[in-house]
Amino acid sequence: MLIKCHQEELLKAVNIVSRAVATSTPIPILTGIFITAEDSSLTLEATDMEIRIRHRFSVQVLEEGKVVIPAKHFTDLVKKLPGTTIEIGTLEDDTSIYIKYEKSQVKLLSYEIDEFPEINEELTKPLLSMDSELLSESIRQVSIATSRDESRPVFTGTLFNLEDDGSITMVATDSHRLAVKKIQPTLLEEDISSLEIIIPSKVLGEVGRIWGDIKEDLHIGFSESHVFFKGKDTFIYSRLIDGVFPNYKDVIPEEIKTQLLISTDLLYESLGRASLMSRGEFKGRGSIIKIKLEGNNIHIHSFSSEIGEVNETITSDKDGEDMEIAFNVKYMLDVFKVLNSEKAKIEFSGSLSPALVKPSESNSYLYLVLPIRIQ
Amino acid sequence: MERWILLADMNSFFASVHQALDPGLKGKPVLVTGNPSLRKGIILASSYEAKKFGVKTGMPIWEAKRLIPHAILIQGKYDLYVKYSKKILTIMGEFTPLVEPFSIDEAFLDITGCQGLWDSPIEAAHDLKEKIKNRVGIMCSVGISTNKLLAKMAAEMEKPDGLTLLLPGDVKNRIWPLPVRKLFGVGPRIERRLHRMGVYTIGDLVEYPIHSLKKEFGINGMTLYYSARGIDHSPVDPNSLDKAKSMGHQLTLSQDAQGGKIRAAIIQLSEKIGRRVRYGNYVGRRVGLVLRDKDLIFNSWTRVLPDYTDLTQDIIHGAMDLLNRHWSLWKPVRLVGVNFSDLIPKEWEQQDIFGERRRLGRLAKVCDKIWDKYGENSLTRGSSLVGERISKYE
Repeated sequence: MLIKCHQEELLKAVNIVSRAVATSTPIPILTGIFITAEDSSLTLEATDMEIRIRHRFSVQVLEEGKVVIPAKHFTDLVKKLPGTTIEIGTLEDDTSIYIKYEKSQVKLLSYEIDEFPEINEELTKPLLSMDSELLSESIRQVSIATSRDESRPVFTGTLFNLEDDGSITMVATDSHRLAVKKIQPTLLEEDISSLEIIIPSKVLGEVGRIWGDIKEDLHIGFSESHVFFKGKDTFIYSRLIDGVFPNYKDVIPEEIKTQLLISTDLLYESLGRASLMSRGEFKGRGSIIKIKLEGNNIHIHSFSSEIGEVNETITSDKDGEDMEIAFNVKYMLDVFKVLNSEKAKIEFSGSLSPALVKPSESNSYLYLVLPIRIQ
Repeated sequence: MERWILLADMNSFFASVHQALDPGLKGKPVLVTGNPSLRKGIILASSYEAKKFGVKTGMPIWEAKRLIPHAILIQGKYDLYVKYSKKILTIMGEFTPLVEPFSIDEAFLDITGCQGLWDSPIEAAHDLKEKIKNRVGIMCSVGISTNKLLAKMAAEMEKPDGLTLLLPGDVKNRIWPLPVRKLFGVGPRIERRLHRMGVYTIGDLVEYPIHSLKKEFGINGMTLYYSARGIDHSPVDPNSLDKAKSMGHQLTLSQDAQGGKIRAAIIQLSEKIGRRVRYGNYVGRRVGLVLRDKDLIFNSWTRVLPDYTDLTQDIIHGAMDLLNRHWSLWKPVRLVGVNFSDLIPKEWEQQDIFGERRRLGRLAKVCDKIWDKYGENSLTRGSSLVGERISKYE
């Protein structure tokens, strides 16, 4: 193998696939990046057997070939290389590669390519296609509610529910809040039956990261155990989370007692100031705010015996009863950051019942948050 | 703004509580003891009348009796002292909301914001002593100063029934001549190290440059540097006791246990802790696991749970996670300990969507009631039956 490419291009590619490299594993080959030089492109691929990322970009191929090299050392090296043309080639003994830049060169030992695990080739047929920007945006809106608590694996993923009408409902929850987003994909197969799959957050995080600023049609395919996302240059393949997602439809309240229509920015800024009263032990986990709805005024109060207190008053359009309710301010801040709507609709159904946050103009997104009971 | 801080130290607190309850004990040498039926019983506290004879805390009962044959021995009742301590804190709370309990018989009061109520801080201190004496029947020594360090050292200067004002200007004449051990924060170990450095009085310590103290004692060295000069900026924190709270239990296994028995012990210990946490109306977040192996080497790990909790299941989960991550189940264990910390008062509760935690909370309440009524062995988790019960049926 012999190729030439620019350091910046190589670094970009390495950064994309390196997230799938296994960090602690008894199988050494999984700590490597599989590199293929073919036609006039270089393909990098890594997997920890849970997730697999493959990325292709154009290079000058002088001699086709394949090699697996240790990811950590290769990544660290590429980061430190000068921003110039790099030449990568295999040495004759086939156990190492050299990387040439300017007047210098590095030699890295490589792995046996035969040991690199193959992908399960059954799953290559895309079932849906979707705009990458819409998907990235939806991931951002839903993933805020995902749990990091590994003891309940189902909550660490996002449910993709393919409905009978061909739409997809994305749902995530950590059992304190729940985010739901409905999106409309293009169906590539006619007879897809309704289906529920739970995709690990890490995978969606990578999808959002890779396609956050690329606009293209993403092809998506899935089976009962795996899912893939495929764009022009990048391919992500992952195991699904095994388990049954709780019935989220039943917990969305139907009877609304109070409804607010309010400027998202105004509320977000107010909540930001109220969050400053977070006691030391809650750092990064938010703090309690009390919200009092009185006429068209919203009073937000937060207090800390060690810091002080914040009293915010903002006005909004209100329909329904006055009421008082308390929340973890972090849960509220999270949603207004991703709501993507000038005005927010907030619906309450009681001091101890879930509150709903929606964009004012659309019914496609819903965020449900449970209040705090003050004793 | 200049602060005014009081430290009130109840004189011979345990003995004084008994003297307050039974006027017949007033003026008599009272010794509060551990269990006197045990031959190894020791003196937990003594009245001033007994102290005059040279009785010291920690002395064996027989030795104290030799010093004062006519002494009155009373077995200590901790619940009673806690009750009296609470009464005294309530009185202090009438002076200022900024009361920091420092131990069962000492508390700091920040009366800075309450100056208008008295002619001077000395008046306030008099008032405090009077109120405690009249309403609880206990004398105390009060130290008055502009920070906690000096207030504490002032209270030490006159006992019993003292009232001492110590101002930053007095530090040179009244503090520097004292042995270094008298400086707040200097215990026997630090004292020994200071002696080796040629520091015998607090005045000697002032001679030492800050960088040498920092090199020798780290961050504590800086505290020593400032303390010796009477400087202390720490606030009177009413919640300070809440922060350090932790609860733990441990169990020595009768034989080197492996696998299921370690798990069973963790479940039993967590159950006990969960009950105590709920009983005290706390929630906590940090779970710790201690395992002593057959070579008697201690291993301990902790992890932070995703949320504050008082549920036994969460404590078990956290401890099991530590076990799975750090211990091979075939490795024998002699002692298992579980602890739960970062405890704070349970003032609020995050509601959950699917009602699972609410159900578990209710279940825990019912279990607690059954245990209260029918005893610890009345209800057991099936999974803990593999191992040894902490207390077996007699």
